[in-house]
Amino acid sequence: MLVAFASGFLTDFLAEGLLGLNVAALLPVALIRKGTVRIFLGEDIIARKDSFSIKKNGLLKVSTALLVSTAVFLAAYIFLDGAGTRPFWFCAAKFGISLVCNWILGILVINTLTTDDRK
Amino acid sequence: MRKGSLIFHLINAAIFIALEIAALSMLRNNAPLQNTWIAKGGQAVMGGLWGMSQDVGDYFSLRQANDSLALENFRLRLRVAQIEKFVSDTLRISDIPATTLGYKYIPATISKISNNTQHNYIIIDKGSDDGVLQGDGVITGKGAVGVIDAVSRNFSYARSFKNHGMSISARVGKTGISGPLVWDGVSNNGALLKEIPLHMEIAVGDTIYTSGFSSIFPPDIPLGTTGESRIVNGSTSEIKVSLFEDFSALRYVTVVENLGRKEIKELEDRQ
Repeated sequence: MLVAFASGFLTDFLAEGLLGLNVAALLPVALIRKGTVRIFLGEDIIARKDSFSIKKNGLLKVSTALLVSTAVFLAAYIFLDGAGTRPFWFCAAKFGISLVCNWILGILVINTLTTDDRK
Repeated sequence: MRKGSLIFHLINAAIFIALEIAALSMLRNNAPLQNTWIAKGGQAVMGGLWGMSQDVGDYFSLRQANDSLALENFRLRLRVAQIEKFVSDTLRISDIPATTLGYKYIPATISKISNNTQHNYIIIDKGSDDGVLQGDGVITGKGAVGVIDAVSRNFSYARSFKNHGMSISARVGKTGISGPLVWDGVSNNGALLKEIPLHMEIAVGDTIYTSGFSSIFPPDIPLGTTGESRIVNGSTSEIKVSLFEDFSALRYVTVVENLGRKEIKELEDRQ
């Protein structure tokens, strides 16, 4: 939770965006982090404090966990950013397009950064 | 183990709530649009809660409210009778100034009122769904009590007259000298009528009315009576005024909208 707060704050500060926007959107993701991992990647990862990867856990599970986390972030971000001024269809379109783009980017980042311990 | 897990989850939730409040506070302080939106949302929620909590108090103050309404009803009937007589004896309808007819009135009930600070406010149970607009005046039969500052769907937030920096254009008598009326900042029903020229003699006990020079309040709403005066800066007089309205007993108010306000504002902006 504190890491989410700090990273969100740094992102807003360095990008000269609305201070607090990324923080407020990231905190819910941090809140559901363990639950998401437990549901989609299994209790074992938490119990053994293990890492995860696409090759170890499968593209489907990792994608689903990534989609849920990204959806929560985007929902909070778009809701707070619009502040009731944007029509629903605009926000829905923004949410959908952002979710797809972030999923593709997320899969690439996870594939690059996570290690595969299986030989 | 279960108890420990529950405590852990509670601590986690408390940390999340605290950090989320901090994040939203940062957002409010750095983004005017989000500040207004969060404030409106907060007022809507708090207005609903306060409205519910006021219901019990209202039930026990019904007798007093009825007496007040009966008195206001009587005054209004007397006024209508005077106008009808005036119209039939003297003038045609078209001779009555259009400004006195160009106002829309919305009755409202106070959901919450603040009276004990230097920046007091009033929250009423009417909002945009009922036709209330930002900048509308709030009046009673005994005075002008505030100006609407923010509007949500079902509630509105008004800056009370008992607010540092708030002033109402007032006139001594119906045709006398006018000046800004401000709260004296101390008492519940005390005000000061400022910028009165030194050569004007104002008697104690004269009635102060709204002047009609602002684009918010209609003219001739009684506000209070004059008291002692004192000289300020050697150039103008300041008159003490005792207000008619008792802000601590306010319950029913009327929101007034000047239908020509937009046009007046456009004229002012053009100059």
